[in-house]
Amino acid sequence: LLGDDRDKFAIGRETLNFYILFVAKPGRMALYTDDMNPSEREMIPDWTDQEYVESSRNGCPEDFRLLVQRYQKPVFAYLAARMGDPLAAEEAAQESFVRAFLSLKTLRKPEAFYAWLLGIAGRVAKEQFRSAARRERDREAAEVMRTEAESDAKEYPLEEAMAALPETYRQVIVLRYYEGLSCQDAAVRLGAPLGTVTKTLSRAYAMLRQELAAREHTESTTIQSNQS
Amino acid sequence: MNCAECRDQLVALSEELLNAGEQQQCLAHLEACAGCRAEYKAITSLHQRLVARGQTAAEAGLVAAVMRRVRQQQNQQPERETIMSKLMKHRWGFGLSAAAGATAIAVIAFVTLSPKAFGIDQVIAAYNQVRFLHVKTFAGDQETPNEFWIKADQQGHVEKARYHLPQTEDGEKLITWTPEKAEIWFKGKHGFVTLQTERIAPMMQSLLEQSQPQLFLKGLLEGQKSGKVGLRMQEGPGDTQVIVVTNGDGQKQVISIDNKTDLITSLAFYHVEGTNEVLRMRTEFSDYNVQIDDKMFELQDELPPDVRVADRLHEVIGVAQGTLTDQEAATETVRQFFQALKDKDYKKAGLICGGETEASAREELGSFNVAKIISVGPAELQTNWVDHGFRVPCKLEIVLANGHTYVAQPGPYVRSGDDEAHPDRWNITGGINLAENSGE
Repeated sequence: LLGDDRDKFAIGRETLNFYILFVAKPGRMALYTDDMNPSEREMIPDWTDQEYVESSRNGCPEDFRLLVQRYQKPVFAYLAARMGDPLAAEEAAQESFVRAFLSLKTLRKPEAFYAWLLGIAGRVAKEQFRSAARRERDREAAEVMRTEAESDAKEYPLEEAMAALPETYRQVIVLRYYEGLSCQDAAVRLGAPLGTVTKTLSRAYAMLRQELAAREHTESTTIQSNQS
Repeated sequence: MNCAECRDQLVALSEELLNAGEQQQCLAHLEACAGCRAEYKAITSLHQRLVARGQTAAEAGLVAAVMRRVRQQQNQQPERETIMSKLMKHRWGFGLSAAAGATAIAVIAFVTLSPKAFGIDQVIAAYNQVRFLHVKTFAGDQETPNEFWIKADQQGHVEKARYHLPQTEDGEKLITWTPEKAEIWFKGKHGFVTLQTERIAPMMQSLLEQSQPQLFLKGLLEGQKSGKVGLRMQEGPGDTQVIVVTNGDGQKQVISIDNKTDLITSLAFYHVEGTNEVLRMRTEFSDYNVQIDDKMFELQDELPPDVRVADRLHEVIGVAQGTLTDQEAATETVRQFFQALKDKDYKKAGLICGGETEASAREELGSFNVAKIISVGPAELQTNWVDHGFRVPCKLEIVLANGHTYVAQPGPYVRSGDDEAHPDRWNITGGINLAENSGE
């Protein structure tokens, strides 16, 4: 494009509902569509969360799509576990992303986008419980509902723990488990050797376990101190 | 295999990435070492938890819904920063508010932002409206451009225009236009027509408006709102800013803006075909507000003396249709034309023939004496014409000055609508060849 061969150019096959978005960065450009297939997406270089955040708030709001793409599944899983209801979780996840977009300017550390997003999701989940309580005019029932939901699914701390990982490590976990890629596919996606991916995974596991252990420890001491 | 080597391979083991030999060695070590066994158990346990988490979220697809809501929010909050709002905040953006009240702010903004070599007064004038403009357009690989000179009034309406088209179906043409009078010089056909027309103004107005960043960007804004175009800004060659506009139909537009003057210097339209971009049209804007002499908008002084002249400005041309059908009107027009020639009424013949003057008609046709009109018509509809038009085959007995007599078979072309003020009148546009071998 423009005789600038550093630019990458990809167009989805669907022309209906075609929405083009530019990722503008010196030397790099890509066009995205909602309907782009994975092999086409592979042509598009990945940016860091920070780059997407900055680009989204500096005049390329469509870049926010890539952040949604990246974290929609962890956020949904987190909310589904907290709320115990996939439909409510989907609604809450949507709401969380939209709110994140609207307050993107207030995010002081763009590199901590995921942790910040999860914080928003947590607040949205709480609000929905509260409004459910209001609807039912019965706070107690809602409280029971909340505790039950939370005790039924104790896995949501996993997504919280992921917030503590450096982005590279979190990215590998997201690709491997939430996007469901094999290690080989993740390697292709990241443009890295397979060995690097397994080493990164290994290190990510160690950090996740450490983080989870710390959380469980805090939780149990809190419970003990509450009981005493 | 020692513990360190084993632990290095535990992830590969859990992912089934080891070859048979490595796997065997690893499993043998795990069998013997409780510490590594515990580590492996922890890894597979976390692996299983994560797999389950991924399965929970497998169906989640939020992108389209979220982006739809994001766009809705943006439309409700136009002040939110987008590429477009950034463009709008650029110096040439404020003109969009268009209200007279904005002018004072505009002037202040210019004084502080544009201490330009171009001349502050000229920049402001050019910014608020272009009064004089010179435009060149290159269609595809056309080497000699079409050129336009435009003069606008203070309200930004085209007042006068001149344009040169080197390649048309009628050959080379030079045209001037004012609301009162248009002149068309068919250089290739050695003809000249004066008339009054409203058809030229919208074309010139559109060119003029394309040159004005604030109007042009308004168009882009509308395109972006409807989700039809993508925009990108980048530094261009020299001291220019380039905006690239793309839509989903493989069309691309590249707009260059001079950073010094904040005026558009060129527009290029491309069609993207596969991986190639084909240049369809390039438009160059230059000489912004460089005064154009009023003489440029009059062709009279430039004409060669022997050019055939048609005056549609003062004369009503052609033949009225009345209650005739189109086919009948076409035939009747041609019949009246040859009757006029037979009667040596060159004034009438000229008028039917596109408004040619009596002198021109006499000079062109005076040597042919029409002795007898043998037949006229029937008129044949010309389906390949843009507008409705007919060819009317005729047979005429011609007697030359030397007494030579023969039958000519011309097929004049006839159509209505050439005179905008009298759309019901039909006139001959060509095909009058009275030579001996015509029609054979």
